[in-house]
Amino acid sequence: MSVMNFFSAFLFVLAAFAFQTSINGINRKIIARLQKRRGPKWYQTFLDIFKALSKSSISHGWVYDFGVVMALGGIAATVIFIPVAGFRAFPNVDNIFIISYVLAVGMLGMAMSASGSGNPWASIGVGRALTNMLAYEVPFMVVVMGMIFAFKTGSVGELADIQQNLGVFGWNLFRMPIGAIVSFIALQGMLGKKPFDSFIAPAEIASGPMVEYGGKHLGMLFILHDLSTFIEVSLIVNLFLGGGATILEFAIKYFIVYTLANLVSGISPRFKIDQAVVFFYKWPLFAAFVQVFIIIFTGWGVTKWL
Amino acid sequence: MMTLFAILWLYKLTGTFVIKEVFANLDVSLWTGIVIFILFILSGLTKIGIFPFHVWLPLAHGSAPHTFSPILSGGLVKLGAFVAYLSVVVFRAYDVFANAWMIFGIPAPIYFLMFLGAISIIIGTLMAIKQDDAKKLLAYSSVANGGYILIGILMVDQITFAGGLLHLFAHAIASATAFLTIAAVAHRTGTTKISELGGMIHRMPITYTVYLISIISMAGIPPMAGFVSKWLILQGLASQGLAIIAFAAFFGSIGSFMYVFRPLAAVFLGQLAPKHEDLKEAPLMMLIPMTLMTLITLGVGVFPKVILKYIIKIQAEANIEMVTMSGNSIDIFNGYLDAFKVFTIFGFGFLIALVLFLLMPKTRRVGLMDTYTSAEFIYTPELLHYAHDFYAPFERLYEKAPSTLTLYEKISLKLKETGFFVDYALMTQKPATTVMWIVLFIAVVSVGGAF
Repeated sequence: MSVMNFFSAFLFVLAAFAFQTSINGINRKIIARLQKRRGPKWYQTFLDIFKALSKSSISHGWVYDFGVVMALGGIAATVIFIPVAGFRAFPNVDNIFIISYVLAVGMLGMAMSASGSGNPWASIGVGRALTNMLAYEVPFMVVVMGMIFAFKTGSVGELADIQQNLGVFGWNLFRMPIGAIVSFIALQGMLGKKPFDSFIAPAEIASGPMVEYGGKHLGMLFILHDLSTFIEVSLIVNLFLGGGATILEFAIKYFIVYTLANLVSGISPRFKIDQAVVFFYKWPLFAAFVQVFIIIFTGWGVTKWL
Repeated sequence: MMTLFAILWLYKLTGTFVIKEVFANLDVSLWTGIVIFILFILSGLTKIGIFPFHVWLPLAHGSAPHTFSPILSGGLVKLGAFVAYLSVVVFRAYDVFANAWMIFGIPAPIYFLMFLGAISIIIGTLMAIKQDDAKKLLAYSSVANGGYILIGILMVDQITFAGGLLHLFAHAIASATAFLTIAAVAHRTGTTKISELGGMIHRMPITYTVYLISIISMAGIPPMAGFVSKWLILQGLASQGLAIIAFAAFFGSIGSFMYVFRPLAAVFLGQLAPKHEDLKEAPLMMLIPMTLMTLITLGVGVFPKVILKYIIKIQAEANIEMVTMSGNSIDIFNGYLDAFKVFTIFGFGFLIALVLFLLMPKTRRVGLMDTYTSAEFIYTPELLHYAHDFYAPFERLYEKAPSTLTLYEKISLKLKETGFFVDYALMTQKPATTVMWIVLFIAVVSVGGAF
């Protein structure tokens, strides 16, 4: 751990933020076209964030402030763990379980801050978000477990490199197709996109956890949201699409995955929270188990291939 | 009773009570070995609260004095893990069951015990989510975490075993700390019901911080001790391809975010009720142990080597492949974890966020009641506090599930009815008949004992 590591990590977080926010802007235009609108300029999200950051705001006590800082800190730290196309800010920390649990620090911080505001809408939203998490995370984790078993490593970077070395048909998208489908559905939940967005449901529970925020708190939460999107989409790209040999290749894959998720979101209705749980514990979980048993018992996709 | 019987039996077989010598001298037939193993493990399972013997834990915790609960959860319950360790590792259960069916390379009876551990994780998690009493909630979380510990110990391998033992330590400390904070809240307010509390953070900030750190460890989130142990367990399960057990482990670890967050949100955060307006922070003598234990949790989370070096010794003693550590990093064949590095990077991320927060314009402090209420006019803090049925939509999914406690109650009722029948059929008003049955019973027992 040298100063250089920290410096490159800082730049990496900035780059991840700029990259995801731009892509978010482009996606807002795409979704607008889908719904026959013109949509805002691609840099509108940047303007929103900087405007929010520059405004003064209210505070509901120290945990309200501390939670936001802890949330953004946790998520920014998680971004540092993510390997992108051979770039790693710190070596040997890209373990999948470490990433998913450091991510939880940020989520906990945000949940804490939201509940600390004393607004019941926020608590309802947090309760829903956690229930949602229990739904989508478990099938995804089961697939990931199969992958770790197959390739004997829990490092996201190494998993991506293994697929890189095998060529296009070495991608887990083709080698573990069922698991890939499960993970794409889970991604929809992770990103909080429709049909799994009941925890922010603006018209129903006044945006849930976000209800009390304004000014710099809201600005920081916007940044947090973009960074966590970056983490989740990057995970899928690394685990199922072989990461990227170059940054450009990674960016293209990233754009495709994220746009696909947004397109699905753009045309979907919303699940109730218990429906989402039942949904995930029916087919995606079953499919995840099928995939894992195929890997364990037959070796199809890992030891045996066309 | 069962363990005592097994111990006396072993004494009869080997002529000594010293654990090491007993198991070294032991040379028994297969069936004797199996019976002794079952007698031992059953009491271990009961003590650590594994399904279907978990019902006593929440009941005991619900009515135990607040001062005793941390000891019960942190010390006594964890003794069950020692019995499990004795019966599986020292007794060499893998050798006893060497000829049994193999499931994923594990003897079927041991896999069955792991499966019970997995069920405990799921049931403990689901039940903890719907408790309204903070102590019962933590008791059910002990049931769930007992499952992790049991699974770890039963694996007797390099990674999961170390994880199980570390989890034993991490959860003992974390749950004892959480019980201490709840005791402190109960000391000031006189209740442990989640729905009657709220907003304690504004009166007891240190207790809140201690609770926060202990639940971060219980939920297995870095940089606390619980994370290192859970990471080892998950890596171990994934390396063996134990999909069903791993599913329970994932379920329990995400589910734990749900149940540990409930007291956090409804006891410590949210609206402060007017009747709690003039509460004080917990007394100093309560704060000192809580803070010390919090420091242990954090310390082990950042430098797991402190405890892992003893676990490595245990593994050496038991002839298991040892967990390897280079410097501060745990190196196993399918991953590496440098807890200190993770902690440093997290600190760095926090620093970035803090600088950003401080650079931006100052905030204005407003009251808790000054919130967006969708144009309703509400002046009662209790009405703005969301604490009842926190996860109602989720709880509704399994509210009709059968309960183990009801099953036991039914069985005990049937047993009583059988007793009444025996009483009715055999006993009469005449003392002579009763004396005859007693004499017959003694005769049968003494004749049977002679064989």
